[in-house]
Amino acid sequence: MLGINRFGTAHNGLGDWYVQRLTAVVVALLLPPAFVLLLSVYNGTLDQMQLLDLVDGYIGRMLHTLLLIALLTHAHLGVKVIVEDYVHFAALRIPLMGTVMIGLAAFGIWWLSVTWAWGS
Amino acid sequence: MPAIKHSEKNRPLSPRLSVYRWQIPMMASLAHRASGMVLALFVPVYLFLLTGLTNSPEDFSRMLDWMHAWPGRLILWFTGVALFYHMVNGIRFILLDAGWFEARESMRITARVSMGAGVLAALLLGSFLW
Repeated sequence: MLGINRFGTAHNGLGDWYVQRLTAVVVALLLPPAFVLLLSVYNGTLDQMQLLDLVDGYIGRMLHTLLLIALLTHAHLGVKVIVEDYVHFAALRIPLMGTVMIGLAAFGIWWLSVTWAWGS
Repeated sequence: MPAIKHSEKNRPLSPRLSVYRWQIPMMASLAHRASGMVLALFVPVYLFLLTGLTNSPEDFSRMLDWMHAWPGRLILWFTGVALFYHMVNGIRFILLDAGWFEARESMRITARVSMGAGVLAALLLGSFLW
């Protein structure tokens, strides 16, 4: 970021760039453990009680919440870059990105409600 | 606006797939996007699995059956490979941002490393799931 004099006409591209990388680090730390849990359930290493013990504590819920916020933000920014590169027709691109954003937000809210409802 | 409007109109828009010769770093970048799309599409599936696995014991065993049937296995395999490739190549991108491996030759070598990691993940996860 040092040595940059002007940010270009959009003014906010650097923010996207930075958030994309920040969320990437969070996802890289938290998503592989979640996938390993899924595989442990798959091959029978974990039964349902052991899985719930791991995910429904406060730490599990907090980490899951952090993961979903970072993951959905990262997914939104990534899909945005792809759509902006390949969908040149603005009347299609803008509603498409709106749909993606609302869809990801809806999944986030549903996911949060699942995560925080465990054990109640 | 300067008077270059006409030629500006005919310029190829990014990513110019039809203009440049295909190279390994370019394929690594495209694979990064493709695997990212696969992972974004896995979000609903993950939620479906998570809700089922943490619900009643019957739901848990139903989810386990779903994961062991071939569509479930294939989805797990595909997303696992996409996740591993996307992570390795993502680390590569961050290192590039930090100024490492920027030379042409090291760009090519590291692109091969990411792709090799993807192939390795495909084989290992395949042998785990089948």
